[in-house]
Amino acid sequence: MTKTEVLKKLAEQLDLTQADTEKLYDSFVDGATTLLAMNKGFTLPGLGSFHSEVRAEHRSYNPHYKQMMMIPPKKVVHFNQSSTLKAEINEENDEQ
Amino acid sequence: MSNKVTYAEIIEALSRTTGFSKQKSEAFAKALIAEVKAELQETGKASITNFGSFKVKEVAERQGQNPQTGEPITIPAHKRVTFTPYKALREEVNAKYAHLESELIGEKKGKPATKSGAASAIFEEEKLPDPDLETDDVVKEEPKSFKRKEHARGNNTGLIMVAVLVLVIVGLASAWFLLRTDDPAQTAMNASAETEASSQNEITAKQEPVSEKKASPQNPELAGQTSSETAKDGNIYQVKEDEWYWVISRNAYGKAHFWPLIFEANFNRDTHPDSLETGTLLKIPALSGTSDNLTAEDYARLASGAALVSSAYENFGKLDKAKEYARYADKWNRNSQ
Repeated sequence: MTKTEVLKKLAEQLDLTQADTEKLYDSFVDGATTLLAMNKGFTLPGLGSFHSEVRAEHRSYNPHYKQMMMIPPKKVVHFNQSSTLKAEINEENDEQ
Repeated sequence: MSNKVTYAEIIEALSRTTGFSKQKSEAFAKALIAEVKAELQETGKASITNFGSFKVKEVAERQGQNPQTGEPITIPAHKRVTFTPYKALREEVNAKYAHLESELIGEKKGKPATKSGAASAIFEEEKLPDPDLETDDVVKEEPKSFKRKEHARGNNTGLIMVAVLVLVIVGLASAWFLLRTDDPAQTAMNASAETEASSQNEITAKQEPVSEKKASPQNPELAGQTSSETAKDGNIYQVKEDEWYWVISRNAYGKAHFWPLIFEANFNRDTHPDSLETGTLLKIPALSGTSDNLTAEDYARLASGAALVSSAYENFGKLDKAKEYARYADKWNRNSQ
């Protein structure tokens, strides 16, 4: 589903114009990105929690050069599914 | 946890930045979450533009252990939702470390390094990266002369390790110049370069280690000097164990990606670019400019080198790499015009 489709649907549900919905959407994503960049985690109820972590520098084997490489530290985003989402997803699994 | 932000705070911030009421903002967040969930249930995939995508993944049954009692249990097959951040988010989050790159350690699994001391020292340094010290002042210093750089020496901790290498090469080069030329200006310049390098060497002991990434951009002038002088020697280089073109190229020119020059000077398209025998004697061609200030002629040669590498890769069926180097060739070709 594209962003436009999502915006259209949300705008209908919320009784807002699509432009307003887009403004909300963009600042929501922007805010979430900024939070993660600032090392702040957050939880979206019913969906899961996000946080960022520094993956430490480590040695790893590069098969192309057949040598060990030193991989520099990197900050990555982690997601943890919420227990409700887990239950819902697996419930659907059982029904099938 | 202190570094967590509550949902209420997010909603409040959202309503502050957009000017909508908190109720509206919350309704939006709820609707968005509901949308993602519904899509996950339906298609097993969902995405939030510019943020990331969610995917339902099947997890196979596996054997586990009860962490309290240690007794083995079977974890049944189940589904879980995974999240993949999009590029915009990844880059924003990783901005602080973005300038770091993977480095070749020059050892096979578990085997000790066989490379030159300077190179391995650099890799050790990288264990203490300092991303906060950005390269701002570095950029400013680039165009300055040797003398100006000497004033800034105190801050330029990054120069030190490269300086050890440079000292050796500049020393050799100036000796060569003294023998070959009577030009006093040239001789003086080399002599000053040498003294400067030795002063750097003295500082080495006192300075704390810094990341190599910091070091290399700070030293373009020195590196350039090195490359032009060693290159003029028409160097013949003997390949050490586990060395690749780009390691040699970095030592010779200060830039790993100039290796097609070396390849072109020594081989043709029937040589596999990924194979390099230990002990091979390589001609290291000279640059007519410096590695940071290439002339059109250099660009043209880089382009033809990259084109050769590309066709060699194509010859050996590595089409991905062939394409990649064809792109390099294009780029350098444009630069040469």
